[in-house]
Amino acid sequence: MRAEVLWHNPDRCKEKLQFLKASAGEGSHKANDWFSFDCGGNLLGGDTDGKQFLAEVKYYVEGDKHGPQYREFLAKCYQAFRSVPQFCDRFLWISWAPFLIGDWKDLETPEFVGKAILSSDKNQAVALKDGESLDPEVLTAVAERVIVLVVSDRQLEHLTLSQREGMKVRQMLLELRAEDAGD
Amino acid sequence: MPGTDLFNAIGDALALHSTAESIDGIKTAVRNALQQMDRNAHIRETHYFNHSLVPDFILSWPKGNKTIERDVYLRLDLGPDFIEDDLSSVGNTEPILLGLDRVDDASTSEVVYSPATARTLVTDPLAIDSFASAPAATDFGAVFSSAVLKGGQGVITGDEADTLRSAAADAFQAARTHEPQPITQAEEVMTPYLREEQAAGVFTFMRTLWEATGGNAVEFPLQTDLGGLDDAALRFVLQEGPQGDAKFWRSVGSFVTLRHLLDLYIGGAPNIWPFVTANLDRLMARNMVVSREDDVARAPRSNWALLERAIAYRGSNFSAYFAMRKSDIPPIQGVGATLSPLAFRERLGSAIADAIVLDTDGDTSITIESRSGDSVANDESIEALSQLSSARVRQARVRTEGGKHLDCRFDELAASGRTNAAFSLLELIQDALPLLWPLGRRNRGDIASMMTFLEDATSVSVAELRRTSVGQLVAADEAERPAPDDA
Repeated sequence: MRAEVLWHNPDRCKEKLQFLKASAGEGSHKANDWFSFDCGGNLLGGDTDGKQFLAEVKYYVEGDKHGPQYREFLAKCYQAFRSVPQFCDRFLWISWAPFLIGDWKDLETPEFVGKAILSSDKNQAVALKDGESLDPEVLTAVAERVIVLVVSDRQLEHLTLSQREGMKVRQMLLELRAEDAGD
Repeated sequence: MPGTDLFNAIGDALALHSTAESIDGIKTAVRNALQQMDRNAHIRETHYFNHSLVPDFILSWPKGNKTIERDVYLRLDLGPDFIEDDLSSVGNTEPILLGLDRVDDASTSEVVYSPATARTLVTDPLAIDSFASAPAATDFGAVFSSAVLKGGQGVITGDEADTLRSAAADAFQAARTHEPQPITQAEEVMTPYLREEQAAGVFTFMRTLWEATGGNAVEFPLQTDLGGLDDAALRFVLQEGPQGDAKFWRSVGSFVTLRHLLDLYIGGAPNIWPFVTANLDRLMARNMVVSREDDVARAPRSNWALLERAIAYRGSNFSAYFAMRKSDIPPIQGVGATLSPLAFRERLGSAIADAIVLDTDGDTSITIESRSGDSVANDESIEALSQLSSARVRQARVRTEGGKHLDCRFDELAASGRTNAAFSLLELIQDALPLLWPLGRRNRGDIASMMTFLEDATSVSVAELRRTSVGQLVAADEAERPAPDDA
């Protein structure tokens, strides 16, 4: 799977990555009533070509904060999917540290998504209106779309393309898309 | 207006809900602005957006027989970290990194001015807006903004762009009024932001303006490597110069021969029309051949085309080729036909033909020559011969307004001098073309607009130019070389 990051946050186009919390009033302009993802874009190639993703990027190795943050991320995914399902083909969690090792095999299950949302008042405010209960179909949809990626700086330094290789890939990508566009 | 407020146009596009529509809106706005900076740039949209390796646009320009290219990467964020990442992955191509938001000059200059990265341009919509809004024809702003696209470097934000544009405008104006100080000031301001090649081009252009407007070459305040109005300067002005300024093109053409022009190999340059038209009475050729073409509508001011060894004037249904040697003219499709005496007289109009050759039947021909110098078209014998159904005019010797003799062959649709004489394009167009080819309303209109431009360029009437046309010096090698094909 490859991806092109079209939007990232914070910058001039952060609106593309912002969503209103479920507990907030319709049309609220209060900053606290909104949440956002770090970046978004398209997936490239194969079955996922053209699918849209939203992603959270945790570029630090102190894994102890990742547990609560991952649960909050799942609550955001739940609410984002309910708001604009057409923009939520995949949710990427990109981390530089392993986390929640005891729950590792369950991180992408509907049950874990549900437990994550109910784990704190903060997460419930993101995903649920007052007194609202979880929707099993949405839980399943989110769980199917979540992808957890753990990367390292050394991977980026040593396992990426050299500038020369990059230029070859660039040429190939140019030709591919020109071909698709019928140029 | 497209491109004049890029920053706001990008904001409007970003506010659109659909990702695809946002990208489309941004790309359209950026493309329009880039095109406004340089109307001669070919802009290819790559169908990628904000990609790490693949640019959003590839700009290209013809350069001789080759093409030069520059990549443009649109970037959502151009903070120092992002710039460093981009430079490590695509910096070797020395691209333009164009932020969609304001670029913070202070935070980026350190990373961008490092020796390894100095030839990349980091810029933002405010700078592009500033360059794109430069009025091209009056202050030659387009010359500078084009140079920025081709070879701009360092960090150019809105403030720098305003300073640069203003310095360039002052210097171009000073070049026309022969004031050295704004030019030296412009060099100081502009040099850090332009690659050597583009800086040399801009200052050569200033010197061209300086000399073309009567300035003493010795007093031009900067040293340039290029002497006089040489090929580089000519190429530059033919690509970038002000299209509508007839007097400028007249000045630039002072010492340019047709051979010199053809040797530049810049057939696609946008300013061929104003250059050739403003110098029609100077550019010399010995041969003209007319070719029938399919009837097509041409864009205004697109008639002149430079070929390898000939220049062509494209009418709506014909092409007229001009060259020193007939063999320099490409093979022509189809040939002409002899004219009836009356049709000949009608084509000749008030011009003077002091000899004609008439074919009377299969094997014989008659030459009628005026001994008095009057036109033979008025001769009674023409009247009599016109009664013969077989009599056809094959050839006529026409006297130009300047008193030279031009042989026009109707069967070959060709005109040339009897000796080694050369004729100005003005003479060939005015004296020979209407005789060889029946010009319709559209073609006559195109030629009339050329004559108006020529009169604007010279401040002299076309009638006077035709009487006094002595043309440009023919290139030395051309003048001395026999023309075997013309014998």
